[in-house]
Amino acid sequence: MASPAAPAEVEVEELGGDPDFEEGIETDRPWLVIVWNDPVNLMSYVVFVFRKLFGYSRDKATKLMLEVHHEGKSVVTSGTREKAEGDVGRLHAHGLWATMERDTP
Amino acid sequence: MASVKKRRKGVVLELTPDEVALLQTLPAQLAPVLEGGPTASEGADPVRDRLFPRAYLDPTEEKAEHNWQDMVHSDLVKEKADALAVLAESLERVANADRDAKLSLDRDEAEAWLGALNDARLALGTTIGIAEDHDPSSLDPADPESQPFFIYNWLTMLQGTILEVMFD
Repeated sequence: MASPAAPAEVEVEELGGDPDFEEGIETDRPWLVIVWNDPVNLMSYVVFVFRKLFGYSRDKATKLMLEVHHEGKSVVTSGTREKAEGDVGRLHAHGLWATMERDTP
Repeated sequence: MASVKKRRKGVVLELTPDEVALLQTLPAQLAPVLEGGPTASEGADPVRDRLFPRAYLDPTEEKAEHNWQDMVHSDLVKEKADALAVLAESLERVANADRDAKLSLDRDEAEAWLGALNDARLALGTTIGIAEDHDPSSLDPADPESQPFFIYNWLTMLQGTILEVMFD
């Protein structure tokens, strides 16, 4: 989980005055895949989907499902734009309401 | 009421002829939602919007959204249609029974059923406006307008029971 952010921090010191630097950081921020609460999907089904798609343990899948249920949404995966687009597609294929957005700095 | 039992590599459902007949209507009911290309009717059909939501909420990502829809829509349609086809094919094994019938589903078939039942519940739930505080026990059986809610509740019960039997 820590690896995508680490190289960017190294560049901060080397490229601090570079005008392109801000843009570089922009594209380094990961994309978050968010699952939203909805009144139809069963709690047990959501846990099943998280385990099947992402290989999460029952405990982790249950924790994320409860976050969706109680807080209205939960970040379930993150990564490059391509990875997030793929994960959102797989979640939609299973009927979960998922969107993606760039992590805030 | 359908009963569901666990088997080493799947589940066995016991279904009444009426329950089989109801399940057999699902593929035809969902077929219109699966037709049409990506973003063909965004905003025009709440059921279609629920089965094929946007990936990007950010309006400045409209181009990425469009490209993404172009890329995934036909795969999503195929996955949903395939699951409904598995449901229909397995129901053929108990079609025309005049009494309760036992239907064995292997693990792959049971997972396809979970997806097909979920899509059916999403479509019906959106149409009849199921809300977070939906209370299945509050329905009046004498009210004809309650019928789709009873069907929704039965599909919910069936999907929930299959999940419970498979994973507990």
